[in-house]
Amino acid sequence: MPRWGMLFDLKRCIGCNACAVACKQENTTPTGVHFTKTVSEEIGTYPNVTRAYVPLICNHCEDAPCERACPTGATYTREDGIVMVDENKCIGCKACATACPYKNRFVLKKAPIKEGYYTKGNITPFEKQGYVRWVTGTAVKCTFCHERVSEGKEPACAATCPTEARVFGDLDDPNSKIRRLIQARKGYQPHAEFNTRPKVFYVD
Amino acid sequence: MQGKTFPIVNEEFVLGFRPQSEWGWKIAIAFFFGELGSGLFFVSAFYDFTLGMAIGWVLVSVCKPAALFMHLGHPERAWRAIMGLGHSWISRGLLASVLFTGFGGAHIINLHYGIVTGGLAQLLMIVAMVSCVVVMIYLGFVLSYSPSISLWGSGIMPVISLTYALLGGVTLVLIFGYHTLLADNPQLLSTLKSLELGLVLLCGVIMLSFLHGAAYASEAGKASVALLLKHDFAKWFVPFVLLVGIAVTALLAYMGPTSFTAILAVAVAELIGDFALKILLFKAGLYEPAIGHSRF
Repeated sequence: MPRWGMLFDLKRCIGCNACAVACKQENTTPTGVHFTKTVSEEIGTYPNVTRAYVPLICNHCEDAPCERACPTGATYTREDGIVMVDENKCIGCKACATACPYKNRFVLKKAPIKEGYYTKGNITPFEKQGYVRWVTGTAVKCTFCHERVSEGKEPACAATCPTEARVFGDLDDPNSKIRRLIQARKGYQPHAEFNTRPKVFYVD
Repeated sequence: MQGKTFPIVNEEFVLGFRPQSEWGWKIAIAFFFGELGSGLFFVSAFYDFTLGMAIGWVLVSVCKPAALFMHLGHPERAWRAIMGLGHSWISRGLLASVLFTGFGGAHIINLHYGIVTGGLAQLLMIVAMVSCVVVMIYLGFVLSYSPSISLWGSGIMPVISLTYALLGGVTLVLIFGYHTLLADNPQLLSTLKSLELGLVLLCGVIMLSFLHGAAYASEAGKASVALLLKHDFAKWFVPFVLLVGIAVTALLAYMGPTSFTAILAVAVAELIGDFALKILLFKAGLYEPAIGHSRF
């Protein structure tokens, strides 16, 4: 059984946010919900200023605080390490959202799904076909596009990334690209001090 | 690592401290009623003061769930929250609340009507009191669970819950018991007033420790404390929580006469401070930036 993880090569990321668009397209997430995105950081002071980009996604932690905080068991971890949500069990208490140290849990509100993005009360055919999967009032998250992964594909964000800054693969396979990159370039986890053991790594 | 200051951002695609926005005034009201009610029940139970116990029971078993139900996305599934007893403090708190509602209610009825005596009455009392203590502190544990929100992620949160619950309990016993329990017992009135003053002073020390701990825990904690003491929320936190809720309450409790008006003034000041603290705790919670250090 693989143990899926993702690596972000910060040297390659150009902050185009094609990953965020691909995720939106794949999952039809409503307004305000971004399972992945690339944030920017301004570094230095004038005239020595540069801009760095940091891709963010659910870290699918081994010891996920969102799973521990969930009182209903709606948040669970699959055998392959993907942290999932059973929306039929979620009561919408939002404990997962406050417990996630990376702020990667999102509560689905009624208004954005009912009103749509473009015209108030007039959702597009794309939104109509996509929104049926969501249960409002529940807390959702990135699933590493588990349907695509089951078909042997990469998550949409990784498949779309034009600079191959996102590397998806099996963390347990010593020959996988992700594992080799982590070892060769000293991959590190976000906020390792929280002891959540993320399955997402960064390399500089 | 260089000391780097991040901006406070909301949904912008910028690295920075992000305010928590999922828990707001509804949870704050639930916290307020839960702690106040359990504190009132707990203190009243020592004197078999059934009126205070009954009011405390109503606050915990009616008012608190009402606020929580308003907060939940799917309140019809709320019963499922009992499933995570092994890992979630919300589940443990729910179990304690259910036990408190059943055994606490039965204990009040039994005290009033004397239906059962002996071991069974003792059992009712013990389960009611133990579950009452869990209700007092579990909300602090729920908050202390967030490792990235340094303002909350501290072991002092359950202590804050317990202290404010007991202070609220003593204050309300003084109010509701003034014409009944305390009317012909000046010794008890004096004892409760001393206890109230001690708890207010303890709240002051704990509040200082809480702010000090958060400010030195992380950059996000420091930014949260700055929000409370210097920036956006200072106009609420300093006058209502620190001045009215602690300083004025302590001063009135120390100097105020034992008239009902003076005791009422202390209670109003204390409750204002308590409620303001609950609201501001949620408002000022900030998450650490996703990556805690700069690349350069």
